[in-house]
Amino acid sequence: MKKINFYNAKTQLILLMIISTILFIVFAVYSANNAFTYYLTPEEFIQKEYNPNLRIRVGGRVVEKSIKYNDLGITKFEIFGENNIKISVTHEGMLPSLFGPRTFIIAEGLAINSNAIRSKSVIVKHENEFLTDLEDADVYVPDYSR
Amino acid sequence: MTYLISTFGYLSLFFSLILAMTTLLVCLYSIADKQKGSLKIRIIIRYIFYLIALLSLISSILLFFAIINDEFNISYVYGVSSSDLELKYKWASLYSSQEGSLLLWLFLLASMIAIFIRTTLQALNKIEFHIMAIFSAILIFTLIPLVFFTQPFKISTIEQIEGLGLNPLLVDPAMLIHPPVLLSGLVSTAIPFTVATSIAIAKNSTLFTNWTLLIRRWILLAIFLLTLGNILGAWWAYTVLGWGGFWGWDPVENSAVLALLPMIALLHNSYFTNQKKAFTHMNIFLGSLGFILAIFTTFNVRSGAIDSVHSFAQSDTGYYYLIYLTFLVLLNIYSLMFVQPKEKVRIPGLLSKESTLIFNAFINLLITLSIVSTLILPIIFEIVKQEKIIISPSFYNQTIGSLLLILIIVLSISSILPPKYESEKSSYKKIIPLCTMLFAFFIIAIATNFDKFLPIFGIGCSIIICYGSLRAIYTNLLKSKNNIKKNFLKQASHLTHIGVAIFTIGAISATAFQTYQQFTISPGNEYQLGDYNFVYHSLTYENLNKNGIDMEVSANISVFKENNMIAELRPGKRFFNSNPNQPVGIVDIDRGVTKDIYLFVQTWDEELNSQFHIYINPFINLLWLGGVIYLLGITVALVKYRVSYNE
Repeated sequence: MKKINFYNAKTQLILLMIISTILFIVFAVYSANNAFTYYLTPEEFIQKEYNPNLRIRVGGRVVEKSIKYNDLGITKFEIFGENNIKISVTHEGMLPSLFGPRTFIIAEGLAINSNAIRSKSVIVKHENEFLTDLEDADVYVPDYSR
Repeated sequence: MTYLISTFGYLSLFFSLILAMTTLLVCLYSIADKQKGSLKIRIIIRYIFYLIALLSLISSILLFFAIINDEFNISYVYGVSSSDLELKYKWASLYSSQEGSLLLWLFLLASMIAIFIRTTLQALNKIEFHIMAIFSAILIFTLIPLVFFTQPFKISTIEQIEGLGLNPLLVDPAMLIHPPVLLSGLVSTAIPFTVATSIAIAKNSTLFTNWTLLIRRWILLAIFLLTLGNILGAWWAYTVLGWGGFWGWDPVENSAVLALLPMIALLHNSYFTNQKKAFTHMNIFLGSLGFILAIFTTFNVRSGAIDSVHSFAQSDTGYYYLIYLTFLVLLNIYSLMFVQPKEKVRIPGLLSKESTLIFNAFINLLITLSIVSTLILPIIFEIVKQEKIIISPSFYNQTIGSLLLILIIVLSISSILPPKYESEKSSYKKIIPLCTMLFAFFIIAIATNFDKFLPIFGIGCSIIICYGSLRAIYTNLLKSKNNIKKNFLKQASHLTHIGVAIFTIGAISATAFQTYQQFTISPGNEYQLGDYNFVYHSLTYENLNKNGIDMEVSANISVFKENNMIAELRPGKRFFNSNPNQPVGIVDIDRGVTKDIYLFVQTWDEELNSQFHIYINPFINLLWLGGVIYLLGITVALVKYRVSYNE
């Protein structure tokens, strides 16, 4: 059997790469423990056993006239999925462009109870074919001549 | 007119497909027939590729013409354009949806192949038929969806007098250039893939060691385009999305950067193949990986397998790309079977330039594999456990962030090591100042705020890279007073490393030292953040009626520092005719050398009380500056290799 020469630069470099890879994998597995977020529909969320520590993403359409902003930057709204099942979202932070009533959003956060979540991140999916009237916009739109 | 455009457009694509299939058959026959094909056949095939490029240009022009002329009876034009769009945004309509972007992909691919055949193929004429066969196969895979199931020239069954308009997120100047550049970058990786695979299958031992030199310009071009595409994407995210950042670890963003990493690794690794005749098998793999990942990216974006803000690109063609991807992977595995590494790599010392080059390529590969794993894992999870999972950005910050930090450390060590290895002892002597400086940073970090140790450490390493690279440029130019111009071209790598370092300083500063605040105030009131006072005057409404925009609402804000007004900002929202319930935010930024004041208005009520988000991003402009310097370095390298190639 050929003896490994640890003083050889090539051997040292290969060892360095192996050690780096092992350390990285260990670190990645450790980081992944807190990084997985489960994606659920509102129906699945309600059916799932309540777990306050489980990170989840819930995707659904924003219920019209349900959006309430407050001065502290907390926004409350509801989303619905199939069979019109609704859940409440309490969002802290910025909302993205395109957020509005009836838009399909994905809220990420932790469950507050079996039908409400507290989110820190919201992404909006844009849909070309989704058309509504200006009157449905949830921000105040002034009258102006068209 | 509609029927004429539709018929000619479709026929151009159909004939391109027939031509590509014919070329593939002829090339395969010529490979099988050991005569290697006559010169006449070679010339004819070359002209067929030029013809395919011309036909793809014609079909692209026809679609653009249909968009300009508001031919809404063509389904694609109806879906992406409207009569009130300005010409520049009609250009964006060309690639804003599935069919158009695939057509642009075809045009870019066919053009690059034609240019490659014209400029570079001669040097690789021993494997010409292998190269042209793979090009034909790639073209066939690109043309099939355009001819059969995502037809850009399909005529609508209902007569349409007005179109739906452009996707609101694309009504932005950055979108006029970011998608075409990124697509060009992804397409350009087809050249290294084809050449690497052809060389392996043809078992050409001469080309094994010098192919990266012969196509160096194409590798550099791919790096240039992919970098530019990603920087423009980051610029768009920063100036449009309103969250104050430039990179959100969105799966599509991660996909966009994937093809770039193996190209960078290949560039670094190719030094060994050219100079030391080593790592040939690794380079064949890296050369192929770029394009495989480009198609993997396309599959990810278009299949809807991942959740992303870029979901407008989603379609049913995703699983077609899975077949395409499988073909490329199998072809790559098949080609690698022919590569038998016999060479022995000799590394002078652990602390040598050679070691850092290899380690750099290794870290790039590790980052690539990590990103690929994070993109694949949710799909596997869904298949196996029937549960959908998503990987949070915090995971990327920790894992990819740590790898990027290692990359910066390796680069900083590399920048201060001598070009030629002397001894382990002298190398250690060289890095002692580096270690001392890093230790000093460590002490400063403890003295100021220990939480920020890693960002400070990263900035420290970046400063060392700048210092080492500038010193190398100065020393090299000083040595050659007589031929500064030619020697300047040799400084390209140092220039790109300076770009990387400045980019890193900007990215770290703007992320780790960002100040963020949100507040709600009524007109006439003010809000204080640090040294700044933000006075909110009123909301103004402007009726635009162009580019699909119904109106723009903007908040008038004056920014004061020590009672002096330093900026007037107008963040707002844009309401579109087609999607009035989905307003797009308008970000306004007061740009400064040391910091950006970034303002976004979230919402307002009947009394015009408005909610704002303020971000103060220190040194973020270094990020863009670093990007420009990096691209300048790549440009210098392109000029350098043009000169050496001609010589």
